Amino acid sequence: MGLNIRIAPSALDAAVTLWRLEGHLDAETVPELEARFEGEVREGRVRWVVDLEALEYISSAGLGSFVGVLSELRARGGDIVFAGLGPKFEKTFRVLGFLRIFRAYPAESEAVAALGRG
Amino acid sequence: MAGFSVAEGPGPAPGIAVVRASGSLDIASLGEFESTLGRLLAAGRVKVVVDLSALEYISSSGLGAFVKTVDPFRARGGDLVFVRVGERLMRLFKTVGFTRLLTLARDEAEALALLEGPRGPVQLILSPALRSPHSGEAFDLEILAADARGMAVRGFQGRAALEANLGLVSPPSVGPFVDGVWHGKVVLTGPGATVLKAALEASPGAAPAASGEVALDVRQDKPPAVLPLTVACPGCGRHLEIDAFNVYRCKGCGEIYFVDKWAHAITLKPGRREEADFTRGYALAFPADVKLLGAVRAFLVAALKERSYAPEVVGDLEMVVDEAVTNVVEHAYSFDARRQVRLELALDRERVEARVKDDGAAFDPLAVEPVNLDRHVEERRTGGLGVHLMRTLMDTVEYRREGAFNVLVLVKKVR
Repeated sequence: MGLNIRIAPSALDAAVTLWRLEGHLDAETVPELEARFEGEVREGRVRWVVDLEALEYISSAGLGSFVGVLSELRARGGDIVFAGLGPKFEKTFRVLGFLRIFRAYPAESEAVAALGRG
Repeated sequence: MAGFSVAEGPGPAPGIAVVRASGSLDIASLGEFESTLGRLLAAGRVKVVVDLSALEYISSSGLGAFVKTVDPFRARGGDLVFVRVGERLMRLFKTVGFTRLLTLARDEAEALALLEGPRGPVQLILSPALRSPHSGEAFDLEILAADARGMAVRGFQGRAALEANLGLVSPPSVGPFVDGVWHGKVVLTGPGATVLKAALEASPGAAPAASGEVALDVRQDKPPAVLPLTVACPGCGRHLEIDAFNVYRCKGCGEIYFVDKWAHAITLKPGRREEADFTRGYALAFPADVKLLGAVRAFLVAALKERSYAPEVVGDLEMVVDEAVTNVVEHAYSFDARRQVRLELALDRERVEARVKDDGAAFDPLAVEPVNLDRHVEERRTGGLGVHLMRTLMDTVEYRREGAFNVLVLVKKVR
């Protein structure tokens, strides 16, 4: 299946990058995602909403990649907010303590709005 | 009834003698047969082809002595190989069990191969029933242990290890070879063009290491099925190794079983039927390649779903096994996809146990500092989350060093 990464400016806020991930995010596909992270950061686009609705599977390697880029984004005044978390990954996020450092909302619009609030 | 005569003839190769026996053999005429053989023995010609095409019958009085004629030849490192045994005589041989006691061959060429022993290194010739098997579906495979002339090495014993350059092959080891041939079912799970290799694990005698391979195109249009490899005998608890889904005799208690994979049941002969309350075990060996993580997870999920575990159990195990395997690939093998990872599963009603094994340098994946997520973020660290996940989602997580292997044992109770 692989990983399908779609990046576009959010329709609600052009300064926010909307990431839509589809497929699986594990040690095989993490390098592709991290390469795209680098691209966005270089262009100064550091406010991200990551929509996990269409993601089938995420491993700790996948989660680790978000942790790895977070401080970089925050140092530049940006952040990551998750959307479409769902019951599938909610437990994993909670167990790893991710909900203490990342905000997550069911709908994309809520996530974009939360980013806007800073 | 015809009389009996025996004659020596030119052999098919230097050092090999040929004797032709014709007519009917009884206790009286056996003497003539024995003295011809005796002359060969005295001359040191211990490798003899005995052509029985013209031998019609051996009387019951001659049978016992007949079978003993081979003994002095074998004692001196040679043999009598009987060729072209007629249909009627063959039936007699089968009835009295001679087919197990005598060395039989179709013709001089085969007899020569048997007498001269394997020529050249033994090679393995793989003949799959399908060139394009479906991923996850068992297909028939025959492996022939042959010498350089392509003749079966009949005395060959041992097992062969199976490996695929891409994807997973199950079972990882097959045997025993009977008359130089093994056949049974194997399963490949993984992508397209795959090379399936077999290599000898051990062989008694002087046969040097040998291997063989075949190119296959694995189709991925169906979801993977699951091949259970071991089942615990409901009678005595000993593990039965399954390679053909049929009839097994438990080596522990001698009970005979029919294993009906699709009904998840073991039937005890005769006519009793037991519910499938037994431990299932699976063993998978695969190359240390992150590209195979998806296939390993699919295999694991299929195995767990077949036993109807709760979705949460399946999800937790999927993540934890993924983590354990990824750690091995990254830390034990430094992403060297030529190395092998082994996953073993034991499933029963109380618990699921998964073991991930590697033969890399001693490495304890659990000996890492506990994760402080905020510090992780500050220090931009991506690793280490996995261990925390494993400890939280599993009931026990243990690392052991067993000989040359790192073993990570993961247990989740399900009841």
